[in-house]
Order: sequence, then structure tokens, then C-alpha cells
Amino acid sequence: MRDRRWLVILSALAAACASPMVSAHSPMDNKQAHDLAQLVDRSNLVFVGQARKVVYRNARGEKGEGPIPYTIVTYGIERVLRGKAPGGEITMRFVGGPDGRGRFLTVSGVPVVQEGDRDLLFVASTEDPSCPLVFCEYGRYRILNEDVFDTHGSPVLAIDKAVVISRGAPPRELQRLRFPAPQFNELLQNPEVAAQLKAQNMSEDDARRRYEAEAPKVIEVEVLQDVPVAAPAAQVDSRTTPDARSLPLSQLTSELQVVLRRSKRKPMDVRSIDPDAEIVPARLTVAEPQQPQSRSPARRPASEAEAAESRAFEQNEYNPVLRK
Amino acid sequence: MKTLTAIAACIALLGTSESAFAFRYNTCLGHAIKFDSNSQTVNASTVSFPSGYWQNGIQDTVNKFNRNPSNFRYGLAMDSGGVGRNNGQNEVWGGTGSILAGAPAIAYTYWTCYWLFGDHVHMDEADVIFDYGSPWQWTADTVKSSLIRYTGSLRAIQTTGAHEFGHGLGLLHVNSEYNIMGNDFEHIHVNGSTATAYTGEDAADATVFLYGARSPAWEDVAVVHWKYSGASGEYSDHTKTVIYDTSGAVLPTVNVAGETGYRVNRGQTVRTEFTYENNGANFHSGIQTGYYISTNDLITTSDRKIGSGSFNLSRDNVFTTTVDLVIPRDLVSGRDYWLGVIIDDNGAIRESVESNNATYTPIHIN
Repeated sequence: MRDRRWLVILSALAAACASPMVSAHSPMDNKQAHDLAQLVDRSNLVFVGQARKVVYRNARGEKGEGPIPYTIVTYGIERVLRGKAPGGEITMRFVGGPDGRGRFLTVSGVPVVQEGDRDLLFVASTEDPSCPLVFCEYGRYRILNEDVFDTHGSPVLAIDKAVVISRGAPPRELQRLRFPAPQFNELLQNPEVAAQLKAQNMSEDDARRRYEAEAPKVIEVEVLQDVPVAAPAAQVDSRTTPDARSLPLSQLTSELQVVLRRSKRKPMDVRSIDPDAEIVPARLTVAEPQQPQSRSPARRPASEAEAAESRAFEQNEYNPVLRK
Repeated sequence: MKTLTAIAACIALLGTSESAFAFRYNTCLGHAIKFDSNSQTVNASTVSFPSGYWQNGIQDTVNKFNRNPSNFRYGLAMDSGGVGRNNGQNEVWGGTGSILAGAPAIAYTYWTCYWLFGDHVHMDEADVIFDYGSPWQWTADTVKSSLIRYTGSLRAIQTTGAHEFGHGLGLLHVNSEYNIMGNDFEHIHVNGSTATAYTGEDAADATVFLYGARSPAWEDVAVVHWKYSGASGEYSDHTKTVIYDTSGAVLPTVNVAGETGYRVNRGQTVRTEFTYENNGANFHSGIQTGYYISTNDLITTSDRKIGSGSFNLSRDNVFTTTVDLVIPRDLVSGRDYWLGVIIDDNGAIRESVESNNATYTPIHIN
């Protein structure tokens, strides 16, 4: 059974090698995102640590923009694998998170870290205004009970020629996000909330008393999935079954050591950000499109019958069932 | 055109049933995060989508996304003023730099979740930004030959846009079946020289789950030459469907007009693979499907029919399967042909979209 699973994994890897994949939020080539050599070469600090403190702050957007929430995370560093840590802790910021007034910003491809998360991180630069990690979300591996999961929570099953192979359903613990519920005074700054109180003709003091007594102290977000349906086995990736066993952290770090020894680029210093400094978000740019440069190969001239078929197809509003 | 005796197509349901998990979405305080309303306007920057080619492309993106059985519809307006994050408007533009966090496109979604004498949970704003900087190269038309994975190097804003607009609706990535919320640029319908973005079965299912089904019912069955090939993190990977011999081995390949074709012999029985989807509201049984041989990559009923079959499709699973067909003995040796399929080739289903009912796999006669 185990041998068969490896065969499937290696077949998939071979297929992946044959054609570079590009996801909507990934680097140019998806394979890069899972390649430890790429992650190491682009990183200036690689460490295992735990998110000890998470605070949320709002950056001022540009003219015409509303506030842009940021999550500021201070990791306690357990073990440095590459580069020089600024101390026993490092503080970084990620765009996205709660605004403290009942709203939340999610940015596709940017991880959301919560207090207590334990991660293996490939840090590029803490100066980046959106995300400090190499390939952003792909520079994060999650650790649960000493096992390793990818940034999305899928178990890491194997490492083949320095490429991390992760598949399968994430454990529920990695599908949940908790953050503090807004303070009443902050919630009142939300125009929607103010309008509701006005509509209910409720005094601010009454509302505050009830809110503080009854409101949940923590807001919980959870990823849910469509209910399973019966599907032919050939269409189901058996590696997505939840019984997939993830690699222990010790195995990943020992594989990583081999890659680290091969890396020729010297890492640059990485500094903690000042958690209280003003946050300057990524600059808003609005660009013009580039004219497409792709060249199309010349097509064989259509025969008379093919040209007639093409005309009929167009006249039939591209319905392939042509009228007789 | 002359039609040879059709052979009975053998629809092989491979293996036993397993669980296929599909669309994913976020909940907050136990409620799905989605727009309160079933219609939203997206404002497109006139700088990034100037009138003509690019404006037509982003309009086409919205139109194609809206071809789904749910109640939800995006509208498009052109925005000659400034665009921005968290300004109360859904917007789409092209940008550069770190706002994209290294991605070819990104969605900034703002949503509300709090308790005030009841739970208040809803999507507020979705902003989609395409990376207009290097190395990304975009096309806004539907010409197949310019696309990556065909004979070009460009990425269609229609497929990536559909993926990002999916995030706007509240959909998350899916890695367990062929779907637009996986690798979007490999989720496309092709017939002839035209490549068309579409939401697909899983996103159709998700939009109906979140926003309800529209009335009158939107019906649409489709067939594509793409299939699920595995998971890459949170994304599904897709690859083109293939042709096998009767023992299940993939046939030798050859370049046919820039695409992967399969070497076949005259009179050989081949196992032809395609992916069938029900992107509409209702279950359909006994859908008649025809298999054709064409001298070009455009498949219509004017081509030569070599087989037929029928099967059932519901909107709960993408259906990739094989059909056994005999290659006609009178085809010309050394020539390229296209083995085509037309779903609902008797036109029995009244569909909202008929143009996605045919596709092909190239072959070369030994």
C-alpha cells in the first residue's frame, strides 16, 4: 500500500516536472514555490518559531482609499537554520487581518498568522510592505505536533530532489482562525454599526452593556468544504484523503540542511520591524496593458469544406450542432 | 458527410466510488462569508482596460463568469476616476510591484463579521489586481494559438479573472478536482481556434450553494479536453486528456499543429478520454454524445461521426471518462486528424450556452 502511494507521488512529480504550473497567486513556476533550493537561495533568514504575539493595526491608504489592515506578528525563534536572527524574537508584518471594527481584509496569497502558530519560515525581507516571506505564503510551513504541513495545511508527504510534496486534507486545527472581537468603542466607529443602533433606537450605554455581556470575546473563522459526493476512483486524488501522514519536522530540517550547505548566496541581515512605526502600505499603481507579443504559428489554409463548416458554425452562434 | 456505422461507445466508469471533496468557502461565526446581494458591479480602470481590445476582454471576463446557474451576477462599469483598496467599490485594474505580493493576480476582499444582538456576516468589497509587470504577459481575446499550453505564451485575463472574481464571491482554492479555483489557465474550453473561459461545474455548484439557483433554470452541459492531474498545495493541477490503447497504455505522441497528438493505426480501437461537466441547474439523463473525425480542430456535426454514447450528468462532480472508438480504416496514412466529441449532439437539452459542447484531441494516422 505504502509502495503504491510512493509510485503515485513520483508519477505526479514527473508530470509536474514536465510542465511548469502557474497558479493565480504563485510565482512564475509553481514548482519554484515548493523547491527548497529556491526558497533557501531567496531567503535571508530561515527559522523555526512560534507566534508569541499578534497585534492588528490599520495603515492609512492612499488618497481615496480606506484603512488597510495589517497583522503584526512577533515570533519567538526556536532554531535558526540560515542567516542571523536579530535576537530571540523577530517581528514582521503581513497585509490583511481584522480592522478592529468588525471588518477584515483577506489578501489572496498572503498568509494569516494567529497567536500560537508554530512555523518554519523562509524570510526574504521584513521591509516588504505586503509580505516578508519568500514567495509570500509559500515561504511558510506549518508545524503541528512536530509534523509539517504546507502553507495551506496539507500534510508534507515527501521531499524529492529538494522539492516538497504536500497533499491531502488539512487537519481542522489548521483550518481555523481566531482573533479578538472588536471593543465596543471601536465597533461604534463602523458606520454600519452606528446605523444599526440608530435604527433600533437603542442608547449607546444600553448597547454597550449588552455587547459587553453577550458578545463573543473571540471571532472564529473556519474554512468549510462541500459535502463529499460519490466519484469514480479514477477522478479522485487518493492523496487528498485525510489519512495522509505528514513528515516530522526533524526530517524536513535534516533535508533542508543538505540544501543549505549547497547554497552559495550569503544571506543579508534581517531586522525586526518596529511594531509601533507607521505602516506604509504597498504603493497603489495603475498600469496600462502591454500589447500581447505572442506569435501564432501559421495555420494550414482551410479547404472549401472546412471554410463552409466554419461559416456555418459562426452563423449557428458557435453551436456545434449544425442545422441540416 | 458520409457516416460510417457508429460503434456503441463504452462509457467506462472506472473503479469504485470514493469521496470527492469540492468547493471551499470561509465561514465566520458559523455563517458563509458572501455578498448580501445577488448582484455586484465591478468597476474597471479605463487606464488598465482602455476601450477596444482590453475593455472588451474584461467585459468578456464578466460575461463568461456570469454564465452560471446561480442567482448571482456581476455587472461591469468603466471607472475613469481613481481605483483603490477599501473604498467601498469592487474594482479591477492592472498594477505592478509589491501590492501583488509576487502573484500574477491578486484579490483583496473586505468582509464584515461581528456580533451586535445577532451575527452580522457579509462580503463588502472585492478588488482584483492583475500584475501588468514582467514576467506576466496577458491576452484579452479568445484566440487559442496565443495561449500558454497551446502554441503561445500568453495568459488569458478571462481565466484568471474568473478565478479572482470567484474569490470575490467567497470561493476559496480547491485542489481535489478539475476546477477554476485551481490552476485557472488550464481550465478552459476549446473548439477550433477559440478558447473560452468558463466557471465550470464546481464553481457553478458553489455559486448555487451560496446564492441560490436562478429562475428560469440555467442549463448547460459541456465537454473539454482538460482533466484533473493532482494537487499542488491548495490548487488543483490540470493536464490535457489523452488517448489510450485498449490495455490502458497512453498512445505514442506526436506534434500536431503545435499540440500534442496521438499516433493511431487505421482500424485500431482506441480509448478516448474527455471531461464532461454539467454546469447547469438540473440533472440530465441519457445525454446523447457523438464522437467525430475531423480534418481540422473545429468539431461540428458536419464532421464524420464514428461513435456515440449516452450518459447521465449531475451538477455535483466533474466527470472524466474514456470511450472506446474504432479509427476508420479509410483515413489517409501520414495525415493529421482531430478526434472530436459533441455532447448533446442531438440538441435535446435546451441550454443557455451551446458553444462549449464540442472539443477535440489531435491524432496522426501511422
